[in-house]
Amino acid sequence: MEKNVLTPNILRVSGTETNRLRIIRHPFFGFIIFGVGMILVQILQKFGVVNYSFAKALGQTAIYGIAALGFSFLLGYAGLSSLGTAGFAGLGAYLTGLILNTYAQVPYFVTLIAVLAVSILLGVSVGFISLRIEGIFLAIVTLGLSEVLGQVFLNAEFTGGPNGMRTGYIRLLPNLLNIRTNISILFYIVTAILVLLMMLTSNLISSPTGRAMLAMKNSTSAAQAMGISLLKYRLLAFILATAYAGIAGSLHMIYGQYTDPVQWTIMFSLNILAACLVGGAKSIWGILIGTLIIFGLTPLFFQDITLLRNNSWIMSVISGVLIILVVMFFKGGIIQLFKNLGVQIRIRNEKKKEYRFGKDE
Amino acid sequence: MAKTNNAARPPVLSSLKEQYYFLIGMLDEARVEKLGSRAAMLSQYLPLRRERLNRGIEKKLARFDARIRKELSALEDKTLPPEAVFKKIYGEKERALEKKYRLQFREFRQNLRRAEGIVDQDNNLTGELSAQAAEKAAAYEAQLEAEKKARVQAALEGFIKKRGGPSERAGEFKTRLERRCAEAAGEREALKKALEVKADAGYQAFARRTEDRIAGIKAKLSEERRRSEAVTAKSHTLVLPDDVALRLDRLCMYFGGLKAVDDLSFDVKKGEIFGLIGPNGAGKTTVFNCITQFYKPSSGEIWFNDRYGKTLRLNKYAVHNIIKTGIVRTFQNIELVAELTVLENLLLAAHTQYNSGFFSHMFFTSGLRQETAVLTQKALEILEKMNLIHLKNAYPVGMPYGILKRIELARTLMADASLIILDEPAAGLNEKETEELMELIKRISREYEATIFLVEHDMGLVMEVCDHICAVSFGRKLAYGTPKEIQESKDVQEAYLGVE
Repeated sequence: MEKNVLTPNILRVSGTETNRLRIIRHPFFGFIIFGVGMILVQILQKFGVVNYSFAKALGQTAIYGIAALGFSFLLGYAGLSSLGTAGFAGLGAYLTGLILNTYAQVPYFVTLIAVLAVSILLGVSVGFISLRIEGIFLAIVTLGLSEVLGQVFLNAEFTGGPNGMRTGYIRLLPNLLNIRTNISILFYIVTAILVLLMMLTSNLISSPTGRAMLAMKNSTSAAQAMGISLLKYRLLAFILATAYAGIAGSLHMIYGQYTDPVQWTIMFSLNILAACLVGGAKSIWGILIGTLIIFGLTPLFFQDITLLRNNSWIMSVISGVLIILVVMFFKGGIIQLFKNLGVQIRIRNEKKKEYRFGKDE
Repeated sequence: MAKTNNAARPPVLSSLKEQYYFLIGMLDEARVEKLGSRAAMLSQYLPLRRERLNRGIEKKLARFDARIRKELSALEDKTLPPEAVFKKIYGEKERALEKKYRLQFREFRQNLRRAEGIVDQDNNLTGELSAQAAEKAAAYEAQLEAEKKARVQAALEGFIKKRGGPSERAGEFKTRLERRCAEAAGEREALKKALEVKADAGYQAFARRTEDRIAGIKAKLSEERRRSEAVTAKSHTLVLPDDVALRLDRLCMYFGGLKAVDDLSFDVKKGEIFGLIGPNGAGKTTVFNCITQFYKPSSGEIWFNDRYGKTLRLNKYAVHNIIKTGIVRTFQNIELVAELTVLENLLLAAHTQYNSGFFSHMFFTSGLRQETAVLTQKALEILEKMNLIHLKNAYPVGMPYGILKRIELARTLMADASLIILDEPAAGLNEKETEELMELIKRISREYEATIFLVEHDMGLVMEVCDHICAVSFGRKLAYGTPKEIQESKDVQEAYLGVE
């Protein structure tokens, strides 16, 4: 029986295998799946599968995730310390409230642009400070700035003082979406912005900008010798951090339609810092995990447990212990733990196989 | 003492006009630099684009092949006797079966070994199986083999029973298959041709666009460069001779009362390997830091002839602008970025060659992608040359010192520098590695036509590779000359060995 009836040039494999998994390996794939999952939660809530408070708290956690994402540029990439996140985010929140309350006809995206502009200005000024001082002193300076802003929120007339500030419903775009936005539409907006910012962050950290920031964190002299201007990248890191925090604050305002000075104290800055540290300041997924642990666990899962609901200090203890454990044992955060776990499991399997079948072959 | 010295030497750029022209010149230079590197980037990207298109064609053809192979294979099944079809279909399953039985045998053998105590804690073999056990293992292997054969046979019988005997229309199918094969071959050729034509058209259009852009840039560039040179000429009066790469003119660096560098002047010739030697604490690294502007000299001038033959006064440059003039350095204690891979560390040195700004980084635009493709290609070539390609995705942590030094050297090559400054390249290397390093330094200076300026304690290396040497002690120049002259110099011998 002659076997070779096929023409040789077709039978011969041409070498390049078509890579069907390319889309899945793209970093954006995970982000989009994440976004779809978030939206699914909201849809499930409409059908009554997930309860309302869970969906609402998830959106709130996502907002904090945005601020943490911005903070990762400082902590994870540029190696700068800051305790000013509360001030930056609070400014975004109050500014949004102020604009919406004064000009009711202004569509939200204009407000967002205004908030971004002010945040960037703030970022530039803090960035210039960061050139002069480093480390713990920089943290103290940013903390001072944040406290100044906090005092303004507490005592100024236009902020409503300790009673807080309220906003009404918002318009998304002029004339186009003149509907009264409800919480689920806001949830979609938050999800969309979070996913978009995750994508932009992922682009940035794998680009020359991200490399330059990492170089600056590891060795300023090497970075300068390679042509990286410390001024430029420190400014950039602070601008990104304040811009993300501003967006988060603004979304916080429209999502909850309420803000008060208690939300923007040093506690918030420390929680953002903790979220980055616990999750892993260099990884986008790590930051999201960290945010979920620090901000999300109580309102999402522990609210139903009476013991934890009545003793809210337990959660603070848990997050404190977590920070100590992570800083002591996993410098890379929980995401590093997962990675290490994967490696450990592979090694153990290999060992098991060797034990069972012998090393030869 | 220090103050009087400073006051005695008026700065060269005293007039405001010169300052003004320097600043304008810097801006012009930045623009010229950017244009030049954009043009180079675009022209280097063209062949990469071609490659990418070719890869795309190959991929599409592979997809076509896979589809047609599936179709033909189904047709072929109808022409073959059931045994042959069975073989084709069952091949995969048979291999899996074989693997399973093999593992079963290995487990059996391992148990025998363990029973005899010839396996240690790390699962290594420490001895041979006894004859009896070996026999047992062989018998078990044979038993498994027979079992496997029986299973394959049973599967074959089942298959034939289900499918029936050979098809009567085999001949007809065979002609159909042959016809289809010929057709498919034709189709493939046609597809290939169509794809190639399409890719070629796309490439031609892209190339034309790119060349237009390059031409535009070049036209602008020559004009800008002329202007920039005219401006720079006004900012200072000195023009270095063509054969000088670097000139230190009465350089002083004081830290408080300490004179780290005191009135040091020498020339580094273009294309040579120049060595700076001296006992510990003689101020050699300080000289480097002054040249690369990590320290601003207390007084004195540093002049540099860049790759376009333009004389620059380095004192005026910021640290991070030094690499743009074509000077790149290594560090005494290796300064690689531990959080970046070796490849990324190399790309870091090309940071100033990226033209894309923040927003194209944020949105990952095609401009950035093109630049990344070009620069990655360049980095891979350098890694290949430096014999580091196997480490490209590794992090430079915990590697042997020699390899880290080599990575740092590779990083300097990435910067397209005309002057490479090496701070104690042989420190911490053993003799063999030092010898390799000597070869490497010579090769780099030859292949990249770069001037190399090094500080080194290893006299063997210095005397072997350097064309000229300057010896310093306590910041002062002792001697300058060829290695031979330096060896014979009495001052140098005294500085190293002490006065008799």
